Amino acid sequence: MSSTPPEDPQDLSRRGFLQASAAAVGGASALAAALSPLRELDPDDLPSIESFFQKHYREMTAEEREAALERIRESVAKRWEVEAEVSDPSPRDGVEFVYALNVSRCIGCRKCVHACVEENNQSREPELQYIRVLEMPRGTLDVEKSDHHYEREEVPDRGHFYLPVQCHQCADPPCVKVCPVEATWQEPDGITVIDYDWCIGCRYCEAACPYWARRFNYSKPGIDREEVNPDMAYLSNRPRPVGVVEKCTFCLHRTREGRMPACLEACPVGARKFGNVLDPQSEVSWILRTKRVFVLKEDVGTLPRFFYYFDERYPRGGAAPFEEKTGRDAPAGEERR
Amino acid sequence: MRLLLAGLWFALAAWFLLGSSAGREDVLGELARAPKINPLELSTEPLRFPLTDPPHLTLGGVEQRCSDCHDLFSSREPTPTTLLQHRGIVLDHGLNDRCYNCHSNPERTSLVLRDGSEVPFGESTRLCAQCHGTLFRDWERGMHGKTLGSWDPASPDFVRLQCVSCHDPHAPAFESFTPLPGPTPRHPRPQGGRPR
Amino acid sequence: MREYLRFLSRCFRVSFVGDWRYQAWMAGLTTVALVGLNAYAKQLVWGLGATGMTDEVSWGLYIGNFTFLVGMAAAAVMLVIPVYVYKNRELSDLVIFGELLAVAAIFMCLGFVTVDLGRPDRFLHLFQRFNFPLSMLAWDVLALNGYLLLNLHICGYLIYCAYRGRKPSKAFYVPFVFVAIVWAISIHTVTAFLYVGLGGRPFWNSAIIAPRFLASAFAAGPAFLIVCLWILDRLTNYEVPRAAITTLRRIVTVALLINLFLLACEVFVEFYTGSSHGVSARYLFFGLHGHSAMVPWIWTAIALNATALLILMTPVGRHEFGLNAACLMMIVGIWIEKGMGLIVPAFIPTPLGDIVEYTPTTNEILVCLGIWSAGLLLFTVLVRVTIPVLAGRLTADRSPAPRHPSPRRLAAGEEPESRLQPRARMSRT
Repeated sequence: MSSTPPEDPQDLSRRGFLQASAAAVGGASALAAALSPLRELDPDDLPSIESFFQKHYREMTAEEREAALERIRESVAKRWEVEAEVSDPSPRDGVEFVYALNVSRCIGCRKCVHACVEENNQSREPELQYIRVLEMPRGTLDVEKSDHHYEREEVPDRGHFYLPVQCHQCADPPCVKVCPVEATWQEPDGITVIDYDWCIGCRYCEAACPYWARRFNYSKPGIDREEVNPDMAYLSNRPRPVGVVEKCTFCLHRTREGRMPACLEACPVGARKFGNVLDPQSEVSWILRTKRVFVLKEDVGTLPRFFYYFDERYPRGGAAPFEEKTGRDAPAGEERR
Repeated sequence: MRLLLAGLWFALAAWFLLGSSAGREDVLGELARAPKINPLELSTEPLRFPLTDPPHLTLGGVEQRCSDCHDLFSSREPTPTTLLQHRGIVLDHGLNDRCYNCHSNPERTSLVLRDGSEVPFGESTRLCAQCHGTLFRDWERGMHGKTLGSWDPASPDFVRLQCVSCHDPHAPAFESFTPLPGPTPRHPRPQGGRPR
Repeated sequence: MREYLRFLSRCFRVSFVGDWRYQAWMAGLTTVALVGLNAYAKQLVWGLGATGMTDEVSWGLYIGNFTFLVGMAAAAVMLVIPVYVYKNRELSDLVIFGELLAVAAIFMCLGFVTVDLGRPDRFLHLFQRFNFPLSMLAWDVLALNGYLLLNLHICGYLIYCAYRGRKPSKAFYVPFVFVAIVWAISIHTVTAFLYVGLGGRPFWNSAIIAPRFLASAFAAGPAFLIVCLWILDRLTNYEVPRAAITTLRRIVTVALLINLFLLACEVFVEFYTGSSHGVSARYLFFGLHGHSAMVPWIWTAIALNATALLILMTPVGRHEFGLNAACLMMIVGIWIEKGMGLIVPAFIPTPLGDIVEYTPTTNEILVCLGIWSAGLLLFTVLVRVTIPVLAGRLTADRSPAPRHPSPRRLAAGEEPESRLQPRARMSRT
């Protein structure tokens, strides 16, 4: 051994050894105690062997997918005692989904926001929503001037218009580009989806999205039993685990079966339009051909599939000159009678 | 020195086990709870249920058709100032202030177009189209109005709601709505809303 | 192989030996590291809700520290280039400390990235479906781990050669040194591209970020080394050559000057244009709609950096105290500017114009402190082991204390000479 004692301690006496052992045991117990919060882990939340080794969605065989769906059914039954119908609908050939929203009609009632939460099994505690309705002052499209937290007795407010924003299902999605593990991708029908069992939770996609459409589960999503929507699909509204990103999928469990998205059905004024842009007779095709259409933040170049349009007439509730005579605010007809 | 260290480690271990709380509330704090929403608010039913064609109503347990009364009492006045019946109706439809602009005078089970031809209640949209041409065009193509059931025009489930499924023909403007609650911030904001 | 294991085990044992200051320093770091581990265990159980991050501000202190530390790692190149490219002799003894700092900094970087993950249990997915070359994060994973391996190899090889009393073969490390030079620039460039490539975040979407990152890294990294070397010099018998410190001071001064210049360029563009894209910068420097949590921080950072520059450019900077004070100021200043100041404002306001501010939670801060402590612990141990080995006091040879020359000096054909005394000890960093 080296002759310079400080560099190479070999002089351990019995007492020194005991003391060193005490320090080592103390250190080990401090380490173990530091990890003690892990006791709180719910065994049900820990990944089973099968789910730990579950493949990426796009690499699974048909049987493996079915097994994955069955695991979801079991976990839903175990957590909420709800019998869920978990499906995995495929994109249809010749279908590319597009959303159009009539800003002349939207009144900012937020029914879409909450219908979406109920349909898509979003967390209630903490609250998580895919749709954000912006109250915009007239004369601008600068979202920085918007108010997300408006509270009014009645909507629409005369001085504002309303701009609901959700995932725009971009044709050139930056969120997909940045994901380091390919946990999110664009489907042939244009919907960008997430494999919640593959996401590692780095939130790079959340930073990349110019529309602030992605949400992260900062804690385990809390949903009560009676709030669970049992109509589920693997890529859309099945329950999400903690630590993964989620977002609007145009309700693909509904729309791939031909149904309408939940936000559209809840809209009381028919401002929301949805359909197949490859079908020239679809409502959205007509809108794109004939209406005055714009997309939000066109300059970021992500080619959204979510379009805003407006009617040629003055929007209702607006300060149009003839509104004063014949609008609902001044029922002049009564006086003439 | 080593004993001092051992003591330090044991003290640290004790603090981890006893002193530092690791429960859900302790770590996460209070979570923003989503408000409960009345299911009626999120109903996907049409706002209105238009009259059947031909329209009927039940009076005293007996099903009546419009003509049952109107054949007996025919009103001659084009713009009645006082109504004895139908008093719940508020007429607030632009310049339309005459019942017979839309309702056929001789045949009350029908509506009437400008040219005098009668239209059954089930085709009321044709009546609306007389004045609201551009909106009718939009509606025909699904650019105005609401479609339920399916997004695919070829699907049997595809249902395009009629004008009167949403608009009251006597007062077609929508009522104002009370907005549902806005987002609950995870961390309480210093101010309630955005100062403007 | 057996000899190598014996080397490792001796290194391990040596790392426990030192005077009371060393022991106290190590015990303190271990304590904080364990507290951080405890905090991370809580976060693991309950999720990232344990942090102050939200959907609005989805990256915070973790990624801020990560960004700063990538710079610290890249800064080793500021010692490597003078020594290997310009054959600077004063720094040749010290370059290994730069490389060891790089190892420790990358270790901390990986730590900060790991604690920022929502599902660290799924990190294997990186090996199964790796979105390369599309994702900048994938590039960063490769760049950081590659840089770690390069530096581990270079340091490990040189130290082990010294331990065995062999002259290091240039073929085994000089090519790697040159690769590492390019790699060091690339880790920080890739890290900048991570942010710069996001079109939806105008605050980041600026081509000047990568040069800014490098400039600030080349200021903060050598500044950190100056302070470390000064502490070594004061508290141990290890003597740091004056000339080396002078060279480092010049490097730091120029880098800080460039950094402040680039910052000024950025500020000019953001404010003179008056475009709505400058709104995050307005939030950062002046506050927005009554929200101004970041304002005191960024002005503190600017004041610290400007003061540091002033000290360095006047004769005060030649004094030991002035130099170290300036270095500490710029480390803190750049940490704020690049960590919090660059990451957080990009999220405020959100792409939809909502303003939600970010305040880290105690748990989050403890995790950060824990990682810093673990990293400093690693750095201390590395330095603690390296000094006696390079001084030839810890060798494979069992015969008494042969004075082996420093391998780099051997390689550079210099006279063997050691400044390390038998009782030399690392103390604080």
